[in-house]
Amino acid sequence: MARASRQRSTIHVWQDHAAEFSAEDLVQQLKYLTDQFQKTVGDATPIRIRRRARLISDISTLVTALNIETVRQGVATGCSYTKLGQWLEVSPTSVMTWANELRKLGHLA
Amino acid sequence: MTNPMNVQQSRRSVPDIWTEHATASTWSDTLSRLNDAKEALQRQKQLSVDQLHGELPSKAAMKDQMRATGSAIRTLSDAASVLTIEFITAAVERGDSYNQIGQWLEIDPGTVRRWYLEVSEENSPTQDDEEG
Repeated sequence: MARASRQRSTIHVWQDHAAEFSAEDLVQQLKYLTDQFQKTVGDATPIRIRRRARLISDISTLVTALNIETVRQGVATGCSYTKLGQWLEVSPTSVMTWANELRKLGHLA
Repeated sequence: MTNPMNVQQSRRSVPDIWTEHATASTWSDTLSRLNDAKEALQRQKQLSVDQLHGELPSKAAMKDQMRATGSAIRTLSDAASVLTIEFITAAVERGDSYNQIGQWLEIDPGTVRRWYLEVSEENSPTQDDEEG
């Protein structure tokens, strides 16, 4: 999985994963990450702790990308910013900002 | 700053062992929620694929799907947050620095510190608890 810092902008995190979305591979990635994480639980060796941190970071990055993709699909489907905000538990303003950035990048009509 | 890679593993105390097990148990619970959300997303994805081969769903049905997907992602997001906080708490208690933890998790060290302090303040006993 490509490394993407959580300090990057949300929309850039989504862009890193855009190819993965078109391949509909995200759930498989999530399965891989959770399976790998399971292997680290209960093991407190330094190498496992660092591995655990990286997996947590990757899971969080994937969640960020999933949020943006849901906004992209939701807006394209006709869902309101308010509804999408409620479903994803983010502010409608954030939804609107992401939607506008997606439009600027040509990923949303 | 303590680099865990340079620290020799010492014999663990009983509280250390207890903490490790308590943490692992909580992580397992969180992982279980992660797995549930992952399966929900898988079902949504399958539904979308099935629709490609059948009639187009109604707008209402598509919105229902979006809502279900949103709910699964929110569960994922919650689980990721819990994992992050639990990792920070465990790492700070092990003696790792905010900078080191921030590098590992790719989070600003200031945020790591703030989250840790918020969680540790919530978990610390109040004066009433101590008196009671």
